[in-house]
Amino acid sequence: MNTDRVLPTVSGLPTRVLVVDDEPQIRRFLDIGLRAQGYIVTTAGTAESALAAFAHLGADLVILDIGLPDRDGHQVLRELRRRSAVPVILLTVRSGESEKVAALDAGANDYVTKPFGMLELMARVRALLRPRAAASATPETFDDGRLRVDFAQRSVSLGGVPVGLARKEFALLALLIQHEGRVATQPGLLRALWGPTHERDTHYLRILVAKLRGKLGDDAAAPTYIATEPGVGLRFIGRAKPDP
Amino acid sequence: MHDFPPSPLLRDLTLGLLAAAASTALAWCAQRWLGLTDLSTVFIVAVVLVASRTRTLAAVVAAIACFLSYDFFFLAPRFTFYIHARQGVATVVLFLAAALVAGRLASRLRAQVLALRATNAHTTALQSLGRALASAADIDAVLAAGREALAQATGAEVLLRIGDRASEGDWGSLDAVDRAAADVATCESRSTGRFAEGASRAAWAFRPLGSGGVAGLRHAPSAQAPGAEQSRLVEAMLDAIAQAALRTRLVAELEQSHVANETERLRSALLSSVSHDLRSPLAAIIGAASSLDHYGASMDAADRHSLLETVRIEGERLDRYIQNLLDMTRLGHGALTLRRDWIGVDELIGSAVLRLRRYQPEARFTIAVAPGIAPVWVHPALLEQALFNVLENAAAFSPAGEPVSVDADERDGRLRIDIGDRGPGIPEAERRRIFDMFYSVERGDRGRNGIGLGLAICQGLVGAHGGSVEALPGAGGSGTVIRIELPRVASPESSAGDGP
Repeated sequence: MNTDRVLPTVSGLPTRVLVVDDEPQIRRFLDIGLRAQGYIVTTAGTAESALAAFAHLGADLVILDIGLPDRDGHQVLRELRRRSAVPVILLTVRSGESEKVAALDAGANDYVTKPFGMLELMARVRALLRPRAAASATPETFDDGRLRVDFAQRSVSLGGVPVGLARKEFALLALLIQHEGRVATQPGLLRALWGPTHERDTHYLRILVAKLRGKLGDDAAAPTYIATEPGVGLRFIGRAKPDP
Repeated sequence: MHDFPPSPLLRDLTLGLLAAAASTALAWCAQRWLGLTDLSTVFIVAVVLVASRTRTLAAVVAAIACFLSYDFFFLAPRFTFYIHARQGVATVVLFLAAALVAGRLASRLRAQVLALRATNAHTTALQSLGRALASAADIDAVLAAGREALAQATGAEVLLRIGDRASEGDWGSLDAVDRAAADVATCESRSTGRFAEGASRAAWAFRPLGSGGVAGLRHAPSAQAPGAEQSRLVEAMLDAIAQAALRTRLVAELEQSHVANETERLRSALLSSVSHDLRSPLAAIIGAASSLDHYGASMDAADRHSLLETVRIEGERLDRYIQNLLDMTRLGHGALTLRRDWIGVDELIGSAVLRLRRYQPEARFTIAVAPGIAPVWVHPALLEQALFNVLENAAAFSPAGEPVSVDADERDGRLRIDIGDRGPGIPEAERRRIFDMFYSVERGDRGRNGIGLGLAICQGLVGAHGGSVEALPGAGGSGTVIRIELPRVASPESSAGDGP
């Protein structure tokens, strides 16, 4: 696992993270863990103080608990979205897939299920900050040494051998790589690929992703590129493989 | 047998006279064309016919009229009522005797037929009531069935009440007198109200229904008191209703005590499980953390790491155990609503394996998914959890380094996922019980990682999809194979060939 410290933002200043959770113990370990990685951390225990802190101090990333004492986390998310496009990671509890999808569709960038390990959270944090650190626009190519995707040329090769992808297959791959390390929700993908009227036609997506996996030589049962999060969506795990 | 018009007397007279007139005409014809000499037989036949079809009075009228006609028209001297005394008396006696005997026979026959019909109706009513009561599952159904059958049998409006359960019906139409009568019938178990002894102003007739129940019948205001036959029928029906009510009450009580027992058993098992399975990881966490806190400075890096790892691993174990408890509660309360969606079988397996690797990085898997299995229409997260539980179980029982095998295939429209381990195997006698909630709760999570509940939950989750889970001996006789089977369910909106 790479633990490179991708810390400074484009401006050269350290990355500021706002942690919002009503549990002091969670705030504490997130504060310690994130500071150890070189981030500047602000913590808030309520929706009110979180919005105030964001207004005064700003943040490059927000880690937001869904269940806050004074206001629903979803409301805080809407409030944040009204003010800025800051990346938001939601802290959720398990067994609420539809809630996760709703929150992601409402503007959250990713989620982590409680309880979570620091490694898992840091992977999400880095995935969200990466495009900001690299450049504002999407990169023109993706290359992990095996899979190479040229977005401008719309060409894909696997181990140097060109792979012919259909238009929709390429579009799906491009979308997933844009979200690298983050989850792309099913409704979001369906909207982007087939339009808003097909938001519920998940079997389209199943068939398309199966074809794409087949062409990339990726096994859904042991994925190396495209992982499925049942009931939520797809996650491109290209560079962050769990195996050594 | 016959529906008599309002004035039976007039009808009998008319019938008798008509019979006499007809037989006279017939006798005249017989004498004139057939040369018959003894014409009394014609009149006797007429009398017998009338007697057999009507009541005695009509027969007697017919007998006298026929005698007079016979005398007047056919006995010498003709066209006078004068006859030879001995012959006349004999003929009158003969005519009357024939009329009375035939009349008696006929009316007895009719009475028998009527009784038979009543018995028949009685039996039919009781039978249909019996059928309705047999299928009544609870007291309300018994009251409804009884009310309908009674109303049909008596033609009256019916109200039934047993204990604090009352049938449907217009209870509001009972006035104070009726209510008092109903209460007396209930408490003293005797008939009250209309038609009962000690005439009452009540509009309703009340009869006791079992013990602590009452049946009210409201006949039309002009109705006569019901006959003995109908009383017997109503009595028999009320008996049947009371018995059925008693039966449903006993069944309900039995069921309730059974459920209470089961709940009690599960509760005590859960309590002991919770106290053990929540406390042991907590003990390890608190112990490891306090060791680090107090003596961390004097430990070497490896020991510190080991203690920290304990905290993490035990914490994760606690998390899985709590997840199992939550899943179990959801299954137990029937609060599980399936949100079906399309998902690939391979995707489900991949997700469960990835998740398990996070907890058990050392676990190995060999996965074989038959090519060409179409996506399935299931609740993805729940089925993934079911798979996760089985995989976790298999990984926990596998000897170190031995992979867990996952084979997915489709046969006869049923999806089949076999998860095999090379562990110690499960004795034949226990293979069914490992999916039993009680068994797993009572056995608890002793030593293992949330295994106890995991398989029972898997069974519940797969069962909610209409599928089944079973434990089989592993290939070659070693280890265990857990087989998940799912029927293929078509999604409501998709159809064949409907692709992107």
